[in-house]
Amino acid sequence: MYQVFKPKNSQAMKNLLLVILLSPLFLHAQEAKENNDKESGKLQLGVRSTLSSFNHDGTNGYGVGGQFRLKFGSRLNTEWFADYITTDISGLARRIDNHIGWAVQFYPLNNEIAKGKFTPFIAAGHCFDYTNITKNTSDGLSLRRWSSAVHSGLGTHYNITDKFDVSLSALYMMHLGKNIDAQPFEDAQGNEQVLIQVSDLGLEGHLLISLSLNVYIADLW
Amino acid sequence: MKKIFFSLLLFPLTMNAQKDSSAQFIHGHMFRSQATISPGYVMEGKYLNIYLHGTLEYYLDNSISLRGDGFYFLKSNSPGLKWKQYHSILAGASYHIKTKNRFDPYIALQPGVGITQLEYGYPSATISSSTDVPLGKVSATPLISGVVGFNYYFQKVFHLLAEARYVNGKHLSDISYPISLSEVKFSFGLGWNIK
Repeated sequence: MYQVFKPKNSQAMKNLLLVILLSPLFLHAQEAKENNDKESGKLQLGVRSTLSSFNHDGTNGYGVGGQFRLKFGSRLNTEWFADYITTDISGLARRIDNHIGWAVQFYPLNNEIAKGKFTPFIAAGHCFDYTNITKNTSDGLSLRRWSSAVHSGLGTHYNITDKFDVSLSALYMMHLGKNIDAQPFEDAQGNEQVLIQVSDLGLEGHLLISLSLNVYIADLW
Repeated sequence: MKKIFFSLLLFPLTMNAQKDSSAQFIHGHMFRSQATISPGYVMEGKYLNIYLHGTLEYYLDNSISLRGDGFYFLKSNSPGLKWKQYHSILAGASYHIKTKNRFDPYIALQPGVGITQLEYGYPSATISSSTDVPLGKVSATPLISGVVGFNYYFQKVFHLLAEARYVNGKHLSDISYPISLSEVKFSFGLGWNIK
Protein backbone atom coordinates (compact mmCIF):
# COMPACT_ATOMS: atom_id res chain seq x y z
CA MET A 1 0.00 0.00 0.00
CA TYR A 2 1.25 3.44 -0.81
CA GLN A 3 0.91 6.31 1.55
CA VAL A 4 -0.07 9.76 0.19
CA PHE A 5 1.47 12.79 1.77
CA LYS A 6 -1.18 14.99 3.37
CA PRO A 7 -0.33 18.35 5.05
CA LYS A 8 -1.46 18.47 8.59
CA ASN A 9 -3.52 21.63 7.89
CA SER A 10 -4.16 24.37 5.25
CA GLN A 11 -1.99 26.86 7.20
CA ALA A 12 1.14 24.87 6.37
CA MET A 13 0.20 25.01 2.68
CA LYS A 14 -0.25 28.76 2.87
CA ASN A 15 3.15 29.21 4.50
CA LEU A 16 4.78 27.11 1.81
CA LEU A 17 3.11 29.16 -0.94
CA LEU A 18 4.27 32.41 0.69
CA VAL A 19 7.88 31.22 0.84
CA ILE A 20 7.77 30.24 -2.83
CA LEU A 21 6.31 33.64 -3.82
CA LEU A 22 8.90 35.60 -1.80
CA SER A 23 11.90 33.53 -2.90
CA PRO A 24 12.78 35.79 -5.94
CA LEU A 25 13.57 38.60 -3.47
CA PHE A 26 16.52 36.58 -2.21
CA LEU A 27 17.93 35.95 -5.67
CA HIS A 28 21.05 37.79 -6.94
CA ALA A 29 22.75 37.96 -10.34
CA GLN A 30 26.06 39.53 -11.28
CA GLU A 31 25.93 42.95 -12.90
CA ALA A 32 26.07 42.91 -16.74
CA LYS A 33 29.45 43.88 -18.19
CA GLU A 34 29.24 47.54 -19.19
CA ASN A 35 28.90 48.24 -22.90
CA ASN A 36 31.81 50.68 -22.54
CA ASP A 37 34.16 47.84 -21.59
CA LYS A 38 33.07 45.69 -24.53
CA GLU A 39 33.67 48.44 -27.11
CA SER A 40 36.99 49.68 -25.73
CA GLY A 41 40.09 48.36 -27.42
CA LYS A 42 38.54 47.57 -30.80
CA LEU A 43 41.01 48.09 -33.66
CA GLN A 44 39.96 48.71 -37.25
CA LEU A 45 42.06 49.08 -40.39
CA GLY A 46 40.95 50.78 -43.59
CA VAL A 47 41.64 52.53 -46.88
CA ARG A 48 40.19 55.80 -48.10
CA SER A 49 39.64 58.06 -51.08
CA THR A 50 39.77 61.80 -50.43
CA LEU A 51 38.48 64.91 -52.15
CA SER A 52 39.95 68.26 -51.15
CA SER A 53 37.67 71.09 -52.22
CA PHE A 54 37.10 74.80 -51.60
CA ASN A 55 40.85 75.31 -51.77
CA HIS A 56 42.30 78.83 -51.67
CA ASP A 57 43.15 78.72 -55.39
CA GLY A 58 39.73 77.33 -56.34
CA THR A 59 40.99 73.92 -57.43
CA ASN A 60 40.02 70.43 -56.27
CA GLY A 61 42.49 67.80 -55.20
CA TYR A 62 42.04 64.02 -55.29
CA GLY A 63 43.79 61.64 -52.98
CA VAL A 64 44.20 58.21 -51.52
CA GLY A 65 45.13 57.14 -48.04
CA GLY A 66 44.69 54.79 -45.15
CA GLN A 67 43.75 54.85 -41.50
CA PHE A 68 43.41 52.78 -38.39
CA ARG A 69 40.85 53.35 -35.63
CA LEU A 70 41.22 52.53 -31.96
CA LYS A 71 38.14 52.74 -29.76
CA PHE A 72 38.29 53.99 -26.18
CA GLY A 73 34.66 53.56 -25.25
CA SER A 74 31.22 52.98 -26.67
CA ARG A 75 30.92 56.66 -27.65
CA LEU A 76 34.55 57.55 -28.26
CA ASN A 77 36.74 56.49 -31.14
CA THR A 78 40.09 57.72 -32.45
CA GLU A 79 41.18 57.69 -36.08
CA TRP A 80 44.83 57.90 -37.17
CA PHE A 81 45.23 58.60 -40.88
CA ALA A 82 47.60 59.39 -43.73
CA ASP A 83 46.58 60.93 -47.08
CA TYR A 84 48.33 61.57 -50.35
CA ILE A 85 46.52 64.26 -52.38
CA THR A 86 47.39 65.69 -55.80
CA THR A 87 45.92 68.90 -57.22
CA ASP A 88 46.19 70.27 -60.75
CA ILE A 89 46.61 74.06 -60.80
CA SER A 90 45.17 75.01 -64.20
CA GLY A 91 47.72 72.85 -66.01
CA LEU A 92 50.47 75.29 -64.94
CA ALA A 93 51.61 73.65 -61.72
CA ARG A 94 50.88 70.60 -59.61
CA ARG A 95 50.44 70.46 -55.85
CA ILE A 96 51.05 67.43 -53.68
CA ASP A 97 49.84 67.35 -50.07
CA ASN A 98 50.84 64.63 -47.65
CA HIS A 99 48.68 64.63 -44.53
CA ILE A 100 49.44 62.66 -41.43
CA GLY A 101 47.15 63.19 -38.48
CA TRP A 102 44.54 62.04 -36.05
CA ALA A 103 40.96 62.77 -35.06
CA VAL A 104 38.68 62.01 -32.15
CA GLN A 105 35.21 60.78 -33.14
CA PHE A 106 32.31 61.20 -30.72
CA TYR A 107 29.03 59.33 -31.28
CA PRO A 108 26.23 61.53 -29.88
CA LEU A 109 23.31 59.53 -31.24
CA ASN A 110 23.30 55.82 -32.00
CA ASN A 111 26.51 54.23 -30.77
CA GLU A 112 25.55 50.60 -31.30
CA ILE A 113 27.80 49.01 -33.92
CA ALA A 114 25.62 46.49 -35.70
CA LYS A 115 24.82 45.33 -39.22
CA GLY A 116 22.63 47.75 -41.13
CA LYS A 117 23.04 50.65 -38.69
CA PHE A 118 24.24 54.18 -39.26
CA THR A 119 26.51 55.63 -36.59
CA PRO A 120 26.89 59.39 -37.05
CA PHE A 121 29.81 61.15 -35.38
CA ILE A 122 31.37 64.54 -34.68
CA ALA A 123 35.11 64.62 -35.32
CA ALA A 124 37.92 66.97 -34.41
CA GLY A 125 41.67 66.62 -34.66
CA HIS A 126 45.00 67.77 -35.87
CA CYS A 127 47.40 66.90 -38.67
CA PHE A 128 50.78 67.74 -40.18
CA ASP A 129 50.90 68.62 -43.87
CA TYR A 130 53.90 68.38 -46.18
CA THR A 131 53.14 70.44 -49.30
CA ASN A 132 55.09 70.45 -52.53
CA ILE A 133 54.10 72.77 -55.41
CA THR A 134 56.00 72.34 -58.67
CA LYS A 135 55.70 74.32 -61.90
CA ASN A 136 54.95 72.30 -65.02
CA THR A 137 58.05 73.49 -66.83
CA SER A 138 61.22 71.74 -67.92
CA ASP A 139 63.16 73.34 -65.03
CA GLY A 140 60.51 72.11 -62.57
CA LEU A 141 60.86 74.97 -60.03
CA SER A 142 59.20 74.01 -56.78
CA LEU A 143 58.54 75.09 -53.23
CA ARG A 144 58.11 72.72 -50.28
CA ARG A 145 56.94 73.30 -46.72
CA TRP A 146 55.79 71.51 -43.58
CA SER A 147 52.76 73.02 -41.86
CA SER A 148 50.29 72.15 -39.15
CA ALA A 149 46.49 72.15 -39.36
CA VAL A 150 43.41 71.56 -37.23
CA HIS A 151 40.21 70.07 -38.54
CA SER A 152 36.69 69.31 -37.42
CA GLY A 153 33.48 68.09 -39.01
CA LEU A 154 30.83 65.42 -39.25
CA GLY A 155 30.57 61.93 -40.61
CA THR A 156 28.88 58.59 -40.32
CA HIS A 157 29.70 54.90 -40.40
CA TYR A 158 27.40 52.41 -42.08
CA ASN A 159 27.95 48.81 -41.00
CA ILE A 160 27.42 46.43 -43.89
CA THR A 161 28.25 43.60 -41.49
CA ASP A 162 29.17 43.64 -37.79
CA LYS A 163 32.87 43.72 -38.71
CA PHE A 164 32.92 45.88 -41.82
CA ASP A 165 31.80 49.45 -42.38
CA VAL A 166 31.78 52.15 -45.02
CA SER A 167 32.37 55.64 -43.63
CA LEU A 168 31.82 59.08 -45.09
CA SER A 169 33.15 62.22 -43.44
CA ALA A 170 33.54 65.92 -44.21
CA LEU A 171 36.20 67.78 -42.21
CA TYR A 172 37.02 71.46 -42.50
CA MET A 173 40.79 71.85 -42.25
CA MET A 174 42.45 75.12 -41.24
CA HIS A 175 46.19 75.52 -41.65
CA LEU A 176 48.01 77.20 -38.82
CA GLY A 177 50.62 79.79 -39.64
CA LYS A 178 52.09 80.17 -43.12
CA ASN A 179 51.51 77.82 -46.02
CA ILE A 180 52.48 77.78 -49.69
CA ASP A 181 50.01 78.34 -52.49
CA ALA A 182 49.97 78.83 -56.25
CA GLN A 183 48.25 81.71 -58.05
CA PRO A 184 47.70 81.53 -61.84
CA PHE A 185 47.83 84.87 -63.66
CA GLU A 186 48.28 86.35 -67.13
CA ASP A 187 51.49 88.20 -67.83
CA ALA A 188 51.87 91.36 -69.91
CA GLN A 189 52.20 89.30 -73.11
CA GLY A 190 48.95 87.45 -72.37
CA ASN A 191 50.73 84.19 -71.45
CA GLU A 192 49.42 82.06 -68.59
CA GLN A 193 51.83 82.03 -65.67
CA VAL A 194 51.75 80.82 -62.09
CA LEU A 195 53.17 82.41 -58.94
CA ILE A 196 54.17 80.03 -56.14
CA GLN A 197 54.70 81.74 -52.79
CA VAL A 198 54.63 81.36 -49.04
CA SER A 199 51.55 83.09 -47.70
CA ASP A 200 49.59 83.50 -44.51
CA LEU A 201 46.15 82.13 -45.28
CA GLY A 202 44.65 83.43 -42.02
CA LEU A 203 41.48 81.50 -41.19
CA GLU A 204 41.04 80.16 -44.71
CA GLY A 205 40.89 76.46 -45.03
CA HIS A 206 39.55 73.71 -47.21
CA LEU A 207 37.06 70.90 -47.00
CA LEU A 208 38.29 67.32 -46.90
CA ILE A 209 35.68 64.72 -47.87
CA SER A 210 36.69 61.10 -47.29
CA LEU A 211 35.07 57.82 -48.22
CA SER A 212 36.65 54.92 -46.38
CA LEU A 213 36.27 51.15 -46.08
CA ASN A 214 37.13 49.72 -42.67
CA VAL A 215 37.41 46.24 -41.22
CA TYR A 216 37.56 45.23 -37.57
CA ILE A 217 40.73 43.23 -37.03
CA ALA A 218 41.37 42.86 -33.31
CA ASP A 219 40.38 43.52 -29.73
CA LEU A 220 43.50 44.92 -28.08
CA TRP A 221 42.18 44.87 -24.50
CA MET B 1 17.43 -11.43 -31.38
CA LYS B 2 21.22 -11.18 -31.61
CA LYS B 3 21.03 -11.17 -35.43
CA ILE B 4 18.49 -8.34 -35.44
CA PHE B 5 20.58 -6.35 -32.96
CA PHE B 6 23.75 -6.83 -35.04
CA SER B 7 21.94 -5.79 -38.22
CA LEU B 8 20.72 -2.61 -36.60
CA LEU B 9 24.28 -1.75 -35.49
CA LEU B 10 25.71 -2.19 -39.00
CA PHE B 11 22.79 -0.48 -40.77
CA PRO B 12 24.23 3.13 -40.64
CA LEU B 13 27.33 1.99 -42.57
CA THR B 14 25.18 1.39 -45.63
CA MET B 15 23.62 4.88 -45.67
CA ASN B 16 24.72 7.72 -47.97
CA ALA B 17 23.61 11.28 -48.27
CA GLN B 18 24.49 13.74 -51.05
CA LYS B 19 26.05 17.09 -50.21
CA ASP B 20 23.54 19.95 -50.29
CA SER B 21 24.24 21.43 -53.73
CA SER B 22 21.76 24.24 -53.25
CA ALA B 23 23.95 25.96 -50.62
CA GLN B 24 26.00 29.07 -51.42
CA PHE B 25 29.53 28.04 -52.39
CA ILE B 26 31.40 31.07 -50.98
CA HIS B 27 31.94 31.34 -47.25
CA GLY B 28 34.14 33.00 -44.68
CA HIS B 29 37.93 32.34 -44.57
CA MET B 30 38.07 31.41 -48.27
CA PHE B 31 40.98 32.67 -50.42
CA ARG B 32 40.64 33.50 -54.09
CA SER B 33 43.30 34.45 -56.61
CA GLN B 34 43.56 35.03 -60.35
CA ALA B 35 45.86 36.33 -63.08
CA THR B 36 44.77 37.38 -66.54
CA ILE B 37 45.42 39.77 -69.42
CA SER B 38 43.13 42.76 -69.16
CA PRO B 39 42.33 45.37 -71.84
CA GLY B 40 41.42 48.91 -70.80
CA TYR B 41 39.65 51.57 -72.86
CA VAL B 42 40.78 55.10 -71.99
CA MET B 43 37.76 57.32 -72.44
CA GLU B 44 39.33 60.74 -72.99
CA GLY B 45 42.00 59.67 -75.45
CA LYS B 46 39.89 56.87 -76.98
CA TYR B 47 42.67 54.31 -77.03
CA LEU B 48 43.39 50.88 -75.61
CA ASN B 49 45.87 49.84 -72.94
CA ILE B 50 46.79 46.23 -72.19
CA TYR B 51 47.67 45.08 -68.67
CA LEU B 52 48.58 41.98 -66.78
CA HIS B 53 45.97 41.83 -63.97
CA GLY B 54 46.35 39.92 -60.72
CA THR B 55 43.95 39.63 -57.77
CA LEU B 56 44.19 38.34 -54.22
CA GLU B 57 40.96 38.12 -52.23
CA TYR B 58 39.98 36.98 -48.73
CA TYR B 59 36.35 36.36 -47.80
CA LEU B 60 35.39 37.65 -44.34
CA ASP B 61 32.02 35.93 -44.69
CA ASN B 62 29.58 35.18 -47.53
CA SER B 63 28.80 38.86 -48.10
CA ILE B 64 32.05 40.82 -47.68
CA SER B 65 35.56 40.12 -48.93
CA LEU B 66 38.77 42.11 -48.86
CA ARG B 67 40.64 42.29 -52.13
CA GLY B 68 43.80 43.70 -53.64
CA ASP B 69 44.39 44.10 -57.38
CA GLY B 70 47.49 44.91 -59.38
CA PHE B 71 47.71 46.02 -63.01
CA TYR B 72 51.06 45.82 -64.80
CA PHE B 73 51.16 47.92 -68.00
CA LEU B 74 52.20 46.02 -71.11
CA LYS B 75 51.40 48.20 -74.12
CA SER B 76 49.13 50.87 -75.54
CA ASN B 77 47.91 52.06 -78.94
CA SER B 78 47.52 55.69 -77.85
CA PRO B 79 47.97 58.07 -80.82
CA GLY B 80 49.06 61.35 -79.24
CA LEU B 81 51.04 60.30 -76.18
CA LYS B 82 53.25 57.46 -75.05
CA TRP B 83 53.27 55.85 -71.65
CA LYS B 84 56.58 54.63 -70.32
CA GLN B 85 54.87 53.22 -67.22
CA TYR B 86 51.26 52.95 -66.11
CA HIS B 87 51.03 50.37 -63.36
CA SER B 88 48.51 50.46 -60.55
CA ILE B 89 47.76 48.83 -57.24
CA LEU B 90 44.31 48.98 -55.67
CA ALA B 91 42.90 47.75 -52.35
CA GLY B 92 39.35 47.64 -51.11
CA ALA B 93 36.38 45.40 -50.54
CA SER B 94 33.68 43.52 -52.43
CA TYR B 95 30.04 43.08 -51.50
CA HIS B 96 28.72 39.69 -52.64
CA ILE B 97 25.05 39.33 -53.52
CA LYS B 98 23.54 36.29 -51.82
CA THR B 99 22.81 33.30 -54.00
CA LYS B 100 22.00 29.67 -53.27
CA ASN B 101 24.51 28.14 -55.65
CA ARG B 102 28.02 28.46 -57.09
CA PHE B 103 27.31 31.75 -58.85
CA ASP B 104 28.93 34.69 -57.04
CA PRO B 105 27.99 38.16 -58.32
CA TYR B 106 29.59 41.14 -56.59
CA ILE B 107 30.29 44.86 -56.62
CA ALA B 108 33.54 46.31 -55.29
CA LEU B 109 35.08 49.65 -54.39
CA GLN B 110 38.83 50.14 -54.36
CA PRO B 111 40.97 53.23 -53.81
CA GLY B 112 44.52 52.87 -55.14
CA VAL B 113 47.68 54.38 -56.55
CA GLY B 114 48.93 54.49 -60.14
CA ILE B 115 52.65 54.57 -60.92
CA THR B 116 52.65 56.69 -64.07
CA GLN B 117 55.40 58.01 -66.30
CA LEU B 118 55.18 59.56 -69.75
CA GLU B 119 57.68 59.19 -72.55
CA TYR B 120 55.96 62.07 -74.29
CA GLY B 121 52.56 63.69 -73.83
CA TYR B 122 50.33 66.57 -74.80
CA PRO B 123 52.06 69.98 -74.99
CA SER B 124 51.13 72.10 -72.03
CA ALA B 125 50.71 75.85 -71.67
CA THR B 126 54.30 76.13 -70.50
CA ILE B 127 55.95 73.51 -72.74
CA SER B 128 55.76 74.20 -76.46
CA SER B 129 56.89 70.81 -77.66
CA SER B 130 56.88 67.89 -75.29
CA THR B 131 59.02 65.79 -77.62
CA ASP B 132 61.94 68.14 -77.00
CA VAL B 133 62.12 67.40 -73.30
CA PRO B 134 63.51 64.34 -71.56
CA LEU B 135 61.44 61.50 -70.22
CA GLY B 136 58.76 62.60 -67.77
CA LYS B 137 59.19 62.04 -64.06
CA VAL B 138 57.56 59.07 -62.35
CA SER B 139 54.40 60.13 -60.53
CA ALA B 140 52.25 58.48 -57.90
CA THR B 141 48.68 59.14 -59.03
CA PRO B 142 45.72 58.59 -56.68
CA LEU B 143 43.04 56.39 -58.22
CA ILE B 144 39.56 55.21 -57.33
CA SER B 145 37.78 52.32 -58.98
CA GLY B 146 34.40 50.60 -58.93
CA VAL B 147 33.95 47.01 -60.08
CA VAL B 148 31.03 44.88 -61.19
CA GLY B 149 31.56 41.21 -61.85
CA PHE B 150 30.91 37.61 -61.02
CA ASN B 151 32.72 34.38 -60.24
CA TYR B 152 31.38 30.94 -61.04
CA TYR B 153 32.86 28.16 -58.92
CA PHE B 154 32.45 25.17 -61.20
CA GLN B 155 35.11 23.15 -59.36
CA LYS B 156 36.46 22.82 -55.86
CA VAL B 157 39.60 24.88 -56.60
CA PHE B 158 38.86 26.62 -59.89
CA HIS B 159 36.40 29.26 -60.92
CA LEU B 160 35.46 31.32 -63.92
CA LEU B 161 35.66 35.09 -63.49
CA ALA B 162 34.42 38.09 -65.44
CA GLU B 163 34.43 41.71 -64.33
CA ALA B 164 34.27 45.27 -65.60
CA ARG B 165 36.08 48.01 -63.74
CA TYR B 166 35.92 51.81 -64.00
CA VAL B 167 39.05 53.64 -62.86
CA ASN B 168 39.31 57.38 -62.32
CA GLY B 169 42.39 59.50 -61.77
CA LYS B 170 44.49 62.28 -63.29
CA HIS B 171 48.18 62.09 -64.16
CA LEU B 172 49.97 65.36 -63.39
CA SER B 173 53.12 65.66 -65.42
CA ASP B 174 56.11 67.94 -65.85
CA ILE B 175 56.13 67.39 -69.61
CA SER B 176 52.48 67.45 -70.51
CA TYR B 177 49.08 68.88 -69.87
CA PRO B 178 47.29 66.83 -67.15
CA ILE B 179 46.03 63.56 -68.54
CA SER B 180 42.76 61.97 -67.49
CA LEU B 181 43.13 58.33 -66.54
CA SER B 182 39.39 57.57 -66.73
CA GLU B 183 39.33 54.06 -68.07
CA VAL B 184 37.11 50.99 -68.29
CA LYS B 185 38.99 47.71 -67.85
CA PHE B 186 37.69 44.22 -68.55
CA SER B 187 38.97 40.99 -67.06
CA PHE B 188 37.95 37.45 -67.92
CA GLY B 189 39.53 34.14 -67.21
CA LEU B 190 40.23 31.34 -64.79
CA GLY B 191 40.93 31.78 -61.13
CA TRP B 192 41.67 29.46 -58.24
CA ASN B 193 40.40 29.30 -54.72
CA ILE B 194 41.23 27.60 -51.44
CA LYS B 195 38.54 26.84 -48.86
